[in-house]
Amino acid sequence: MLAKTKNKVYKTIFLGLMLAFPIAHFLVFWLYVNFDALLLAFKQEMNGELFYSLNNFKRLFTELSIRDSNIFLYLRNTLLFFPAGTFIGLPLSILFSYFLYKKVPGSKFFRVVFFMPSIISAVALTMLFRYVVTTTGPLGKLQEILRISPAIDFLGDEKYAIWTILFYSVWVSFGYNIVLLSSAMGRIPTEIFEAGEIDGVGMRTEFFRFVVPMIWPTISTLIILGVANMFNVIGPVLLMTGGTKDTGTLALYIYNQVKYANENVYGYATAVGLFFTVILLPVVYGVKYLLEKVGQDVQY
Amino acid sequence: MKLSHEKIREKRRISTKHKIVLWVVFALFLIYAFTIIYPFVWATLTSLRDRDSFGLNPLAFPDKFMWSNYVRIFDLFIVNGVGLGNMFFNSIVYTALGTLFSTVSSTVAAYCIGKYKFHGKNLLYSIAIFTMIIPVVGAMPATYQLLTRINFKDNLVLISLLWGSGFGFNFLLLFGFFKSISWSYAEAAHVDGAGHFRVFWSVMLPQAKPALIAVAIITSIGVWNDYLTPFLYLENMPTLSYGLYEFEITARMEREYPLLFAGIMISTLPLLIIFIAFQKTIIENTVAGGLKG
Repeated sequence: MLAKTKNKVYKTIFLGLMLAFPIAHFLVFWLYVNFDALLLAFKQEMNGELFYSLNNFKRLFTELSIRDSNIFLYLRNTLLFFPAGTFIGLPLSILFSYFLYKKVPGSKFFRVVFFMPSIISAVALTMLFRYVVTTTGPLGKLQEILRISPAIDFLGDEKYAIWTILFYSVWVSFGYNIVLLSSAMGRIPTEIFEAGEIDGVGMRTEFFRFVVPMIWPTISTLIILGVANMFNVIGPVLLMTGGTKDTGTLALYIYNQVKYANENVYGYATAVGLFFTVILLPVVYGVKYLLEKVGQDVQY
Repeated sequence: MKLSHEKIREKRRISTKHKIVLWVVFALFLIYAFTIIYPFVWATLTSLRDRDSFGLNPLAFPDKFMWSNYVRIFDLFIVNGVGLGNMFFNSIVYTALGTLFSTVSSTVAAYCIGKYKFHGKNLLYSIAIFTMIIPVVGAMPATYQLLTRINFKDNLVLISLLWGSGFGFNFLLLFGFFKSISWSYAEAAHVDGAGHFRVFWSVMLPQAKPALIAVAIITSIGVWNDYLTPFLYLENMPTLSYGLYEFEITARMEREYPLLFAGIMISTLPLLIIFIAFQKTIIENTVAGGLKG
């Protein structure tokens, strides 16, 4: 009896020490910060007096109801990234991984090359991309050869800038997805395919009937993370145009307020962020629920 | 099982079709690979060019190789008073610590939650999933105020603590991993009188080594390339990624594009080498399971 209690105490001490850091980190950098953000969104200062109001949210609704307000534009731009990533980028990644898995000639080489955009600093990569697409760069040269005149300025023209950034973000997005999907495919027991081939199954059937269901947990995780990061679009826009040329996004707006504006606008920026997080919450859990319904969790 | 002739013929037909499909895919892959590699070849060549000849024709092959660009850049690539050498050093410290905090924190969290039964275990798991799938976009201003108030700014060590979350994507990778490895060695070690720490350190961690390496490398790529955090919090301690962003403005004004590309090369090469060296470990051990709970 005594030994058992002693054992339990040891276990508790062990778990306490092990989990101390992650829990402390969560309490400070997640719980405290978000609680603070909640206060910040409602806090208002007038004549040196602090009080709480809904003004920031009222302002947000007003701006959202105006068709050509900045926030409306940021929202539209932000919402373009999720479908680009999930409905174009992800299926392509799955196909890429499948063909690498089927040992396309040179698959070892392609594996490294396809991951390169994920290794290279986004700062460097966007820089290269920008020089490639300018009118004086390689793409400009190509337009000259094709006699497209006046040459399209892909990032300098409001009409094209956001689409160019979207294209870029899909173009460089395959790396991690391929690693995760390839790793999942690598774990599919090969007996399944051997049986499949004897039955005279073509590639398409193999892909849709065997591979996709077997790696469904990974796919659904990637979809959920895509939904989750829907409002979290900063990187490529910041580095490509800094949000000029009508390319701003919500998260970049918040980021720029923190970086360049003074503290009295933090309340509104926070309110914008919180509002969309609250909207996102049921969406993420809804999608998660649906994806669990669609595919059963395969264990192997 | 004996295959009929028809089946064999059918199989052969399919395998020819497979081959054609694979070669078509090969061609498409080659095009995509070209668009990835070309900018790098161009950047490498540009980094070796003379400033004026680049100005005349940005696409040309260098007429002479200016290896001196890679020396000059150490004198000219200065951001907020910090030179390239120091930026490199900052990047290494920031990456090493950020990776360490992140990997250790998610390892212990994943191990305890994955392998032990205790009160609050399910709560912690739900928190881990929740914080990962609901990134709170609006928390940035509050975080900034907090870090300014407690004097974390421009302190490499403290700022890299931001990476120490135990509940991110790394948690998911490692949680799945620890779940999948057997507890029987640990059981045997317990019977032999080994304590919890000992079991964790000498029995479980060695088995997790490949997964830990994969997670650490992937994390280090993220930290090395992180520019958003240094942008906000390390203005006077710039890392390479952030430095490059600032240096571009100078380089553009002074038309020193070859130097800028030399900087890009210097910031990229270390990671590329590490990735190629550990490619197999990374691809075989980066498994993301489903999100439950």
